[in-house]
Amino acid sequence: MPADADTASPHPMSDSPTRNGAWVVLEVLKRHRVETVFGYPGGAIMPLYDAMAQDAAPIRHILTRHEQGAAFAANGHARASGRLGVCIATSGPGATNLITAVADAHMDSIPLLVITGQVPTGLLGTDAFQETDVLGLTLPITKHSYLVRHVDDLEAVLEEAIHLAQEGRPGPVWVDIPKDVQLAPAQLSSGSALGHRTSGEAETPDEAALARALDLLGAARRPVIYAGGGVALGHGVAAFRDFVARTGAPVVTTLKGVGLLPPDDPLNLGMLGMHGAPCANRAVQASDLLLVVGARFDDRATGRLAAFAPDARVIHLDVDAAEMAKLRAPEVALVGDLNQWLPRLALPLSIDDWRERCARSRRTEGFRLPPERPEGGFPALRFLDALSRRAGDQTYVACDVGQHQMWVAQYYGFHHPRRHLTSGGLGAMGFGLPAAIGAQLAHPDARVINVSGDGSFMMNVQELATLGRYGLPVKIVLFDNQYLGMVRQQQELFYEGRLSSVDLSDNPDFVQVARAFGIPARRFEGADAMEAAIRACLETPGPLLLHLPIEREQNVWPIVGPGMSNDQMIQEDVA
Amino acid sequence: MSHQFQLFARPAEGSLERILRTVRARGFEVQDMNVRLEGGRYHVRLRVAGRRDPGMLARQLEKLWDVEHLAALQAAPEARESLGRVSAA
Ligand SMILES: Cc1ncc(C[n+]2csc(CCOP(=O)(O)OP(=O)(O)O)c2C)c(N)n1
Ligand SMILES: [Mg+2]
Repeated sequence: MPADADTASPHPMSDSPTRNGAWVVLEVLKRHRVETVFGYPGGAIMPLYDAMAQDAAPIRHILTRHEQGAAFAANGHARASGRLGVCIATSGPGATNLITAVADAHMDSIPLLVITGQVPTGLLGTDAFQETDVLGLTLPITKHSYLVRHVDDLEAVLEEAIHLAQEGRPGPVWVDIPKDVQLAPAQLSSGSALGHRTSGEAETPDEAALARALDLLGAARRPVIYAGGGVALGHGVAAFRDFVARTGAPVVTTLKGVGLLPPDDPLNLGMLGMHGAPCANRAVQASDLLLVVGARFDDRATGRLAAFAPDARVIHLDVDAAEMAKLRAPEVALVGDLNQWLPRLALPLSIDDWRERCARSRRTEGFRLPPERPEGGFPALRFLDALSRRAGDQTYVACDVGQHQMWVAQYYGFHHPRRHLTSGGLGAMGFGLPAAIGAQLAHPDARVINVSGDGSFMMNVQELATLGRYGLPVKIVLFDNQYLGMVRQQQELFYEGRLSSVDLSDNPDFVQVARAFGIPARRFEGADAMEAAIRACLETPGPLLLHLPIEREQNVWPIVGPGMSNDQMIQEDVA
Repeated sequence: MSHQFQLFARPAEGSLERILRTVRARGFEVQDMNVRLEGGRYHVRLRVAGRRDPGMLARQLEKLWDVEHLAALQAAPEARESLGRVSAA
């Protein structure tokens, strides 16, 4: 179905649209070259949808089948493009349905503009139909939020919101607009007259801190770079790679840093943390200097904080001053743009022995495919490894949350962090399919794959209709273990095997479900089907769901138990 | 351990709630609070108690978009040290 079906008006289009608050919203979005928005209409946002209908050159509006789908799609669009994502919903239930995906954007620092309709100003605070205190609801999950009470403020608020979502450490900014404000007559000022404040990060490099950092780097015998999502968010991947090449220091990454170095780079020790590579965790634990770049000592990365990198001094580089000493006090804090700092820190390091020790550990304790087991169901790990070698470096993979998400991080070889869309901080099941839709719309010619689990897939299954409606060629790789596998694994390991509410053996027939939405689907069973599944994934022109029943009891290895140190990795018992 | 802050904030919708929720969510309890709207900005004096690093709280408060200026007053010696270390960093 053509996209403009959403905005087609039953009324003839007038030459000049009504100049009201809703029109201002669209004009400001266009000023910022927003081309695609995701949303779902309803009473309090109808003036904005009417303005879209009157617009002779409308922004493309993607109608999802749930507001959560719209917000995750905008979130995926922003992650894949590095630009602002925009989503729209009505008041009350429309706004509350956005919350999870906005919280996700907040945790992962994704630039998002969220626009909701609100009851008219005269009804605010009266428990009116579909009134919820959206400003109040969104305080903890946004970088900032606004309730616009006067149409005269609307343009400046939107300008500030768009600026704020993208400056410094990015994040979601929410603008709640009462219906009468959308309907009120309005003019545009000349946009350039609107000034911006910036948030508090330091703007001039601190030379004394830089000198201390260089001293520490020069003296380090066992330095490790611990890099996270902030590098790509700060558009610093090229500067980071150059820095690594010049210093020659080994690198570990967080989940969101996966792809910062190509998978075969000898300095890339892989992901650290709870499901990290043993060589990555061991290097960090043995290090005498951690250079933390765009990362925040998240507990999934550090394990028990008190035991994390016990002998290391810390240099912490981040754009967000509030991350300094939040969890671990650095010897040197460098606040600001990585692109400024990294070239000035690029000291060639004489650490041949340490590099060699890490390289050895990488060979023996990196992620390695387990031995082939023909009886073991569809070989999920081998499939991901082989798929990544054949799908091309430009492929986008949007995961859901669970064991399959960790297998993707461990075995899919990423060449850039922007290709890996994963709900890191919030860990929100249901992220994958709508995020893949957003990524596909940002990159219409790219290959986009959603890797999902049987539990997660059902959380936004309705977005199959969006896939069908817009004819998007997203491939859905559905690993079906008939379990909430990640929870089952932890119940087995840490709750004495008492399984509690994790069985999904009554899943629907996923092939039939997809087909009911008009999405082609095929099931691939057993190890022998792997090659056919890869070919179907790579060669099918339109959308396709690949239903892959996998061994039910398969686990993610290694795992660091709750409250444990990263020294205490539990490995697979292969006896 | 109690810590005092003085801050100025834009009187934007929700700005006092943001300050209060930051104090609560970051693990502190408000012991005393005084707010005055004067000259187009909120003048806020806060006394909070908590076992976590007050420097961490200060940085989280400073990060709020509405907060224009923050100073630590009569902080316990270790709090002043911690604030100083980070602003020097
Ligand atoms: C919205 C949401 N609810 C609950 C959880 C807790 N949780 C984490 S992983 C998981 C199981 C996911 O199951 P599935 O998608 O089948 O993936 P698998 O682990 O089996 O690969 C659950 C319930 C979550 N992360 N997100
Ligand atoms: Mg499952």
